[in-house]
Amino acid sequence: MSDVDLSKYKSLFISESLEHLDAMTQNILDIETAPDKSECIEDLFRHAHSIKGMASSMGYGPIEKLAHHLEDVMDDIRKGRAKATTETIDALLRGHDALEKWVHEVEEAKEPAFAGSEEVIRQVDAFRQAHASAAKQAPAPHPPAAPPAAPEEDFGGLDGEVVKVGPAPAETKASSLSQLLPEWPDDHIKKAEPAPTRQWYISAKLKTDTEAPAARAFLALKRIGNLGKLESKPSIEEIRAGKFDGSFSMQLATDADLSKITAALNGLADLREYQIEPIEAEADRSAPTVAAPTSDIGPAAYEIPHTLRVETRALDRFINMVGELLTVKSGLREIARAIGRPELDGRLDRLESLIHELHSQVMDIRMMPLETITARFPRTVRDLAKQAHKEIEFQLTGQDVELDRAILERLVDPLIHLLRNSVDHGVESPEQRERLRKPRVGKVVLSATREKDFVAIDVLDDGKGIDVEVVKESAIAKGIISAEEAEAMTHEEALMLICIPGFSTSEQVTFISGRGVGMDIVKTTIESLGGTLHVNTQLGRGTRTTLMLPRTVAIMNVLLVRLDPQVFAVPISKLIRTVELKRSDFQSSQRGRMILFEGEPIPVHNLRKLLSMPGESNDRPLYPALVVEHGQRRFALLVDDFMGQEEAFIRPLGRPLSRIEGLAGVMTRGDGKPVFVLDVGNLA
Amino acid sequence: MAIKVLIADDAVFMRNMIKEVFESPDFQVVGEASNGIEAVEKYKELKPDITTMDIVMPHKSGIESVRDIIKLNKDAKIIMCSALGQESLVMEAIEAGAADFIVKPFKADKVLEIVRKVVNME
Repeated sequence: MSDVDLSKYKSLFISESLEHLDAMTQNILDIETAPDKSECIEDLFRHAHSIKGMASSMGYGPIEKLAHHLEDVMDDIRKGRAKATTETIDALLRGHDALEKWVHEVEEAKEPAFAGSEEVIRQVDAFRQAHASAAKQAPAPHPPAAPPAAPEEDFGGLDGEVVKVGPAPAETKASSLSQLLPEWPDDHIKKAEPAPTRQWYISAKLKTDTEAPAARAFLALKRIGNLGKLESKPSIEEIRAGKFDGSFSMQLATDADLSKITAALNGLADLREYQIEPIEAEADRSAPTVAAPTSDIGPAAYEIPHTLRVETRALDRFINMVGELLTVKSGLREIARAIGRPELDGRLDRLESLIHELHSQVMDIRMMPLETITARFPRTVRDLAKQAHKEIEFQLTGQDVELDRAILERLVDPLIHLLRNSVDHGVESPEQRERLRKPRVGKVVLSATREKDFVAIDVLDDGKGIDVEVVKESAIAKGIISAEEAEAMTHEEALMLICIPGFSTSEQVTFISGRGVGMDIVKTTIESLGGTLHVNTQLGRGTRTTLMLPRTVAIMNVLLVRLDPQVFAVPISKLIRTVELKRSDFQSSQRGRMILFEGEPIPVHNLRKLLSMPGESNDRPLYPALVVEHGQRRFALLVDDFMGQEEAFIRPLGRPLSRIEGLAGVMTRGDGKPVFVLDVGNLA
Repeated sequence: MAIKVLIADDAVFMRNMIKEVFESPDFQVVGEASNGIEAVEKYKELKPDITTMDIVMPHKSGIESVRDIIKLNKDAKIIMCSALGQESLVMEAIEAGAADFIVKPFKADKVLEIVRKVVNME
């Protein structure tokens, strides 16, 4: 059993446990409302039991123990020894939250401490003693779960992953000396037997997020190959041709000792794990056998699953590869054009349509139902309503509408913001509602519908609505707009004032307008995802906020522009038109340089200056410029030249580039050169 | 003693980004080159411990520059700066003698991890 590398199961443990915990939340809330509770309790019991089993296999004692005690509470309800009161529900939710916290701790901490576990378990027990009539007499409903599958000392250290130290057992031919990066301490290496001119079997795996994995493996084989004679699988030629799936193995004949080999391996970035084993002269050279885990983790082990669990990073890699294919395709097209071979066009068109097909298939896999994030919302609204002393009925519809998971991830906070606003500031207190002859229980709805390539998400409530006049007055008082501007504003425009940073932070305004904190952040987040936000309100009747979001991200049409000596890309979706301006087109005003565009004056900025790039655009007869639309604003940006339109795969930027304002991502052109994609809307 | 770094990249922007990564007492950026010819010249002149080399540069490509520098010093430690879709060029550079590579967009800690590993290489 000690041969099992538990680290392999850690991520599975985390993802499955979190799924069970999500389902538990729903079950617990259902117990409160469902007429037939027995089914909910059965489900709940099953989820807790699964978590208990997994935790015990992993050796996470406190998780196992708490899940077990929660099972007891559920069993009390199931057997009629306890009633499903609000307190019981709260106790189950508290236990659930503790489990969730600990699972996250397993995910994040090197050595999960499970702080306060004794206290939580004691509380659950105390609750059970107090509420279950027969609990004291009842025997423990379940035998305790199996003892931890692995001894404690095999676990922990290096991110909770297994590190084995010491010589391999003599009886196994290809015993594994498995070790994990980052560092193998030197004193352990020195303990290993030096081995003059020996054969070694080395296998290694790259991290899943390795960039340019084939090149990384190529480098590894070159470095190890420097130590002696090397045969590898896949071969260097195969790797050069891109035939590489993230792991490789090799046989090395060398007079270098083990410390040299490990030093070479430790000098490589992006290795997730590796194994080195000596091969004896008469030993058979088959790959080492790794003992299979002897305990099942999770119920899936009993049936052949119809779906596969895929790490999201694996999907990201797919997308990256599609991106590389697009780059190669544009490169081929450039060559075809340069050498003047139009007969290649047909094949290139076919290649292009295949890449598009591949892209849409991969994008489909990345799509996840809205439910993935909204499943927790009933709980959130319940908690918020309780805090605010409101009575609220929450409705969720259209939960099966699918969005790219990257968008879903970023939607959680904005949606919670909107729900919080509805609960805190929209829906009135039960007493107030009765005075207003409204139903005592307020309504909050989150609904989603698909509209072609967009998804519309509505968050609405039947609360007091927003008083647009009060919003205008506050904006005037804060100096955001003048009285004349307020006069000229439409209802819709005035409402959008609540999304201006600095407007909504005031306590008073929040109180009066009934809309609150963070609308500016919500709006910015939605727009950064390529979406829009609209607010609709009727005084006394309620408020509806509509988010329009693209279903997918990543591939974008861009216009390449030159600012000598650099090239930048601008998303076409942000442009209204490109124009060429004459010197006489420029007019100066108090607001700076302007041009007339479609009969309206719009400001002109020099993109070079906005990017703080050195140099000046030369005097010339015509000045190329982009006309950009961002929200309600339009402005023109001067560039050196237009270089044509391209379909680009946009990669998000990592640190430190992601901190630079005005950069939306990076793309690679056909010549292999990276080009920054500008977030032009936020530049001027 | 600080590790001496030479940065070869035709884009000022990229050079500045890389310089920022090396802003630490452990490193000293001793020179910058904006094309391959300059990179080889600066290498001769400055004898840096580490050279970061863009693959695609005017006048002389990064890969040719690696070949020239390795001819001067077979133990020269050159880290290629590559981008998405350049795997085969990276392999060519490794074949030419490059010690390692980084992939744009750069993540500071990743760059430093690789630089440290290369510096500590025997």
